[in-house]
Amino acid sequence: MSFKKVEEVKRDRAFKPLDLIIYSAVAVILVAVFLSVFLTKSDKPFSGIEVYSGGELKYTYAFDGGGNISGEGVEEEITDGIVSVRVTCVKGYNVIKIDVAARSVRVEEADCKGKDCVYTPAIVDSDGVIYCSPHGLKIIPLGRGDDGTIIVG
Amino acid sequence: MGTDGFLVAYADFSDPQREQAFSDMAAETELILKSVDGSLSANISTSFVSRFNAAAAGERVELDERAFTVLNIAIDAYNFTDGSYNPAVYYGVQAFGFGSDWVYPQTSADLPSTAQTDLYAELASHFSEVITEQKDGTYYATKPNFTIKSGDEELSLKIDLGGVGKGYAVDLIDGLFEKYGFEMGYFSFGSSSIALKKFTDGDFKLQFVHPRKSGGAYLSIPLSCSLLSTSGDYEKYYVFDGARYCHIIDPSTCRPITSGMAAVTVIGGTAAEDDAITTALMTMTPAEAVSFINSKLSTHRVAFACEEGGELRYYTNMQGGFELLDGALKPLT
Repeated sequence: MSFKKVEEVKRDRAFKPLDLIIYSAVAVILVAVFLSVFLTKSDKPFSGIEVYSGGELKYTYAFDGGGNISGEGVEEEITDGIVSVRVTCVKGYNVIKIDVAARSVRVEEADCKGKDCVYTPAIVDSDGVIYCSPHGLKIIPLGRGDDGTIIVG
Repeated sequence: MGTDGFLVAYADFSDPQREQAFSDMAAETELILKSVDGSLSANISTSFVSRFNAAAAGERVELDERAFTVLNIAIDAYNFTDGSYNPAVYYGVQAFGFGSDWVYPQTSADLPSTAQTDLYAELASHFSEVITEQKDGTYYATKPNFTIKSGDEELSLKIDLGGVGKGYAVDLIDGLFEKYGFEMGYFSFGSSSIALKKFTDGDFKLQFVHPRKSGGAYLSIPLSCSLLSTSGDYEKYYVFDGARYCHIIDPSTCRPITSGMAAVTVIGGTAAEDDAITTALMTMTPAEAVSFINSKLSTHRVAFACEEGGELRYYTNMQGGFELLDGALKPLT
C-alpha cells in the first residue's frame, strides 16, 4: 500500500534572490530498478547526505555536525569513525556506511533482489547519488533536495 | 504486468483537501494498475489476454473494453511499424526464459533451436489476421485460423500486450493529475514508461540509463509535460559465448534481437504508442531505425544508443535540448 509524507524543502539558489519554499508529497508504490547516477560535475562542496525512504526524509548526516534521524525505521551506530545507518522500510532494509574521515558514503548491505545499490560506487562528492528502487531509498548530497532528477530505463 | 509504479505530486499539502486529493489519486492509480493487469496480463489465467491465448485457432473470444482498446492499439502499432512491433512473440519470450518465471537457460545448449523459433516466427507473422469487433456493447477478438506443429502440440497464436499495456496504464494515470487538480508531478511505471507534468522549478532532469555502464547515465534531457518510453537490451538479459540474449524478441525470427540497438527513447505521442515504437526500433538495425525515425517520427523526439564496429554510438533527431553524459560516446556514422 502506498504511503506519503508532507515534506518542506527550502532551497537557496545562487542566482535567485528569493527563497523558494516547496511543499511536496510523494507516494511510493514500488520501483523495480536499482540505479546510481553520476551527474555533471558540480562545484558545490560535499558536506553530508540526505536519506529518503519512500519519498520521506528519514536521516541526514553532516560531516561537521553529525547525524539526525527524522523518521521512523532508522537506526544509527557509530564505531571507530564509521557511521552505520540501517534504514528499514516495508520492503526490507539497507545499511548505509558513512566514512567520516574519508567523506565517503555507500550502501554496504541490503536485502533487496540484485543488491545493485550495494555495488553502486560510493558517494564522494556533491554529484553522487545512490538509489535502491525496490526499497524506495534515495541517498543524495546534503542540501540537494528534490532537484527533479528522474532515472529512466 | 509484474511492474511497479512511482507516483509523485507536488502541492501545498498543508491544505488537508490537497492531502485528501492525493490519497484519492493514489488509490485510483492502484485501481487502474490492478484493473489493467487483471485484463491484460498473460500471467493471470483469468485475464482476457489469457483467455484469448487459450482459445483455439479461428475462435472468437470475448474481451473487456480495456483489452479491446489495447489490442487495437497494438494492431495500429503493428501496421505503423510494418510489423517491427508485433505482440505475437509470446512463444519466443517464453522459450528464451523471459516469461513470468524468468527462468533463464543454463547453457547455450538449452536455447531453442532456430528451426523451433522459425516456427514461432511463422505463427507470429499471422498477427495481421487478428480481427477485433464491437457488437451490441460487447467486444470480441478472433484468432487467426492458423497453427504450427511443435512436437506433439498444435500451437495457435498467442500474444503478450505487456509493453503496450504499460503505456496504456500510464496514459490513464496521466489523466488523473488533472482530475485531482495536480499540475506538478509525474508517474513512472517501471522507470521506462513515464507521464510528466510540470516540475516545481523548471523542468525535470531525465537521466537515461547507460546501456553498457552499470550505475551510469548516458543522456540527460530536461523535460516536462510529456509522455515517453524507453526500451533497452540491458533490462533483462544473459550472455552465452559472448552473445547477449535480451528480453526484446525480433518478430521476424522470434529470437532475441541482434540488431545492435542497445537503448531507445521516444518522447511524444501517447505512452502506449511510445512503448510500441521503442520496442519496434529496438528490432531494427541502426540504419533502419534512422530511416524510420526520419520518415515516420518527425513529430517525436527520439534518441538511441547502439553498437557499431564494436563501439557504442548514439543517434538523435533532436537538434538541442539534451546533454550527452558519456564523453566517449560517438555519433552514429
